[in-house]
Amino acid sequence: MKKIMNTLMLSCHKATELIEKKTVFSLSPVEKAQLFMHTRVCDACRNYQQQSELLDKVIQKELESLEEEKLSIDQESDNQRINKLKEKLDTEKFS
Amino acid sequence: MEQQKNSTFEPMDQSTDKRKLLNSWVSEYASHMHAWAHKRTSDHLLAEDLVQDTFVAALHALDGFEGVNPKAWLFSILKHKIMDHFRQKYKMQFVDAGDNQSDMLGLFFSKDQSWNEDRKPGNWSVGDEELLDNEQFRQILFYCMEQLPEQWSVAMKLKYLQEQKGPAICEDLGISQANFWQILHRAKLQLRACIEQNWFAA
Repeated sequence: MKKIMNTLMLSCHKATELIEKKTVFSLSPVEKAQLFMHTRVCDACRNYQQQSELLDKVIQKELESLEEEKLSIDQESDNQRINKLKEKLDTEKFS
Repeated sequence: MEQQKNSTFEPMDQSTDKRKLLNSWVSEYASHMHAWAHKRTSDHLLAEDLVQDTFVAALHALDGFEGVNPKAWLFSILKHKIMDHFRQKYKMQFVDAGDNQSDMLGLFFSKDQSWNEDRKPGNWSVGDEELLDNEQFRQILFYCMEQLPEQWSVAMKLKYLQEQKGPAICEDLGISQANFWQILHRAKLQLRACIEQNWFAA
């Protein structure tokens, strides 16, 4: 029984590691069970998980959005860049 | 692309048409693309280069373009340029990362690997929905991302930018899976702490 408890009980360090691992890889059945057990009894890690998932959502939403960005750059440098870009394309050779 | 490889030159009018088309796309999309690339790289010069590379690549790949949605097409090229850049950057920095990482974990966890009392994540007591649409919260979050060691923020950004998940990224970067999620873990711990400091303590 003690042996089972030891395999099932994660430290907070390991539990939060699994929370992050879960965002990019799939967890093994044992890892899933371990994480579930741990977050049931550990408020801090449950908070961590909820907040980590929220941060992922905000970042993902921001990076994926194709919405018009609020331009923090002045019009003049923007125009310069566009002219430079057009010049570049006009001189670009087809090989 | 393949057609171009086989012929050393193109008929004059065809290449002129291509340039004209590309020029109109530059007028229409370039400044938006620049802002988009800047947000992801935090670097105006780099963003400029990446946008330029994108249009040059588009000019050469134009024959393969289906012609439906130029904006989406250009942005998908730009996104790949950004990911290529992050990959290179990550690999360049890989050599000197590593040693002080265990120190950083020591800030958060005690010897028995449970949370240090002063670092325990508390309840933020604000609804997810509220934070999801909060402009100031978003600004702090991205400010904090820029404060991370570069290799960590690059690893994070690859995670969000890449459609394929972990295994493909690890293969690209030539690192083990454990290495990748451990970096994400450290990055998230630090990011979370930075946000708490700047948002909730303010």
